[in-house]
Amino acid sequence: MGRFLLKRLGQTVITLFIVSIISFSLIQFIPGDPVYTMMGTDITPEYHDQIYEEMGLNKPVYEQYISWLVNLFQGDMGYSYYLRADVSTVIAKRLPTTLCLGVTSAIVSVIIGIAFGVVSAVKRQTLLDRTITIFANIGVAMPSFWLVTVMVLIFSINLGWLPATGYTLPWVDLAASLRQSILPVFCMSLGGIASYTRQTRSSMLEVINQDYIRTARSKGLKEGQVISRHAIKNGLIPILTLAGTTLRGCIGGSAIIETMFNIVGMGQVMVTAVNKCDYQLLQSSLFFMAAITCGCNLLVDIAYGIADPRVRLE
Amino acid sequence: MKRIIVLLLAMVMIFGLTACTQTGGDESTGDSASGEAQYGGTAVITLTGTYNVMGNPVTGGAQVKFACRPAIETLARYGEDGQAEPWLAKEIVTDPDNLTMTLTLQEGVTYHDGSAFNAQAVCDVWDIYRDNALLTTQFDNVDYYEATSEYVVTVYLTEWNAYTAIYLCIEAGYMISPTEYERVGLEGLNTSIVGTGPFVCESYDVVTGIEYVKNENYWGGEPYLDGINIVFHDESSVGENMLLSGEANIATWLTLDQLDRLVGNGYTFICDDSCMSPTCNGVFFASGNEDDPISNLLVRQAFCHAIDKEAIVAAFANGYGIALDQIAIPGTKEYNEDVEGYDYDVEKAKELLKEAGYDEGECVITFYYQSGEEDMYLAIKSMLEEAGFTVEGDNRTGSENRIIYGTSDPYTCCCLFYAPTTIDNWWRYFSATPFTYAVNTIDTAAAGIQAAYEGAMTAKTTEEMTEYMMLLQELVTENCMYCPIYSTPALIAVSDEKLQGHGIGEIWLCQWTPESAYLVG
Repeated sequence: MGRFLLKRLGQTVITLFIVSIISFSLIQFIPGDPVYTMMGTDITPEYHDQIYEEMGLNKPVYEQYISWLVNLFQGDMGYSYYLRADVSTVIAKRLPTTLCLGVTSAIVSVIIGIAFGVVSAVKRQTLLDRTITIFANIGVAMPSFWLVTVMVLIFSINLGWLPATGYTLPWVDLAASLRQSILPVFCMSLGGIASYTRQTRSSMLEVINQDYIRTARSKGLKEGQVISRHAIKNGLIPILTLAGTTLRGCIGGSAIIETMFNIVGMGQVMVTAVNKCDYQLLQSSLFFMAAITCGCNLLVDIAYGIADPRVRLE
Repeated sequence: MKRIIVLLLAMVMIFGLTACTQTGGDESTGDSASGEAQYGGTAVITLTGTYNVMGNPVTGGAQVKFACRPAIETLARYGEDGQAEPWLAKEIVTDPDNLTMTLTLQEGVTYHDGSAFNAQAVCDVWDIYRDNALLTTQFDNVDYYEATSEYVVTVYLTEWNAYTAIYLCIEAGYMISPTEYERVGLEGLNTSIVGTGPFVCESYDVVTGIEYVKNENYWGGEPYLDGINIVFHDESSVGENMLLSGEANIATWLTLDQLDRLVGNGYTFICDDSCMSPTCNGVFFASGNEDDPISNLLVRQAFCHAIDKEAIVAAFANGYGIALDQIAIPGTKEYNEDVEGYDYDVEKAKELLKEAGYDEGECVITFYYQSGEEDMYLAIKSMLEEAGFTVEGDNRTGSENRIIYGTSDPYTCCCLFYAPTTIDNWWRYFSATPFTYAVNTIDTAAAGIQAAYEGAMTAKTTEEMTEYMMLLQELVTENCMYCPIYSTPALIAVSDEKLQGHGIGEIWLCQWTPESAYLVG
């Protein structure tokens, strides 16, 4: 296991290095002058030149890259000229919002999705199974921006039950946080519920037809015990891969959901960084996200090893 | 398993019902039926976009000046006649003959950080703007200024300019705190909103917005509202949704489509026809090359005749625009009723092109446009091609346009513009400052245009200024320096009518009266 971990860590470092080069290079292709885009075009040429130099944009590209990378390894993620704060401060401020919403929607997706998937598999070919499958297919196909628009129209504007925008952290005001969470969490988790439902149903169907399940039944165990003690554990192993994706999504946030609900999380920060050509914020945030993604992949691999002894032996 | 699912569903329903029954946000207080001014409540105003220079409004655009208004006041405000009216400066006396301007300030005013607002503070603020090159043209004719007493500032000019009071007391009149500048520096000032206004900035986030609370010690008397929240949003539908769901009182800087929908839903469009600086949309001509078709007056006139302005108004202005024959709105002081402009006449356009020596399709012009302007560009292109032009489009970003205009390389193009319709603003298109707008090859001196402009700018009386403005409009149109097409309202803002006394959209798009705003119902 130790050798496996070291090997994966080495791969992660190489991946991150390649990601840093690609993301840095791609950012250079964003059109427009970054200083005017960030500061507006009402600034004087002298002020523009001053900021241009402060940002190091007058240096060669390779020098800018090396300088950024060295600072990053020293813990300095750079300064966001548009948001007028250190990038690390920006991330630290926005991450809790994204995590709260992301983790909540992940939990909702996993619990409800797996539950529906198990029920659908156990009650296969029944009306319940067909109904769940249809809704799962709709959930996967439904674009989130359309879903947000419809939900806001019904629940915020027409019924006035829920707010259309904003988010409060739970430790600031729990009641407001709950109220503001309902629509964003629903919109974020619907796709996840659908995905988990379909994947769980598929893997459960495969497991249910195995010999050891037949053996368990023939031992006289109730159907519920067969499913809960034998089928679910093995059926959930492929779900781990999906869980890894969900975990990454928690950290990255949903740019569409956050933008449409005007929630300032990591997703919206990334969109702002692209729109405003905030190179430092964009580069460092991208690298941060890449590092998180690699970390999540590593965790999933380790989880596989724990969940499935066959993987460990391999 | 079934029991687990039922339990889950029950929990979700309980959470949902609990959350849905919560009420949120500030409610207005007092008698809602009468609409009389009453104390209490927090107003919410949405603003499309995100802004990072709120504490330093002179470096920001109209939205920044609008959003910082509750905290940062100006020495003067625009009056209904478009002239500077006293505000923080309670008296403004100009002496064109002696080239001075004397400001007498309100007494007993303090900044939110506790420092005194006085004549020295005004001088210090102007020093900040000049020394850091934050403003330049506003001080072009200023020799020096001094605090001649605790509350009197005297400005000594090198030459007279009719817009001096507006330049110094409004455009450069944003009274930020010099003490705060000393504390945080220029960079820190951008995010530190400290002024003398009726509201104090409690929090400011570049992406989420500003929360203001009442300034209990406001020099103009206690404001009615407890607070004002200006909510920023990048996604344009957010402002509309907040208004429709009751989370906001006024949504600003909307699109014309949103305006249409909201007015259709019973909300109120609050920008008066008299609100200054409606946006003029049109095309200006830029040429650094005498051989280029655009340098030929006949070609420019043909261009103007080829544009069906009414069709463009119908297609792009949603019924809120008017076709223009000059960069001025009928009824305003810049508008010359005797100027006829160029009417839509395709045959006339073809005739003029032939007279200029171009047969069908031979006159090739380059048209710069930016993202978001494609539809307008295509509409104009089709009209021009019908008249015999060949149009080559060039999609550029705004900052690329400006960089190109700043070079000395020969360039020629037509370019869409959106200009506020006050003469000192649109003249900047044709000034020698290539940074923002193109330089035109028209010999403005020979055409008398330069003299008319300078006459308007240095006029000592309103009547003299009007005379020169009328002449300027006539000459600019005669020489076809641009093709104005239509105007749209200065500010697209919609209200639920619960917030009143705010003055938004009444005189100038950046100017409103938070000190007298109150909530009803």
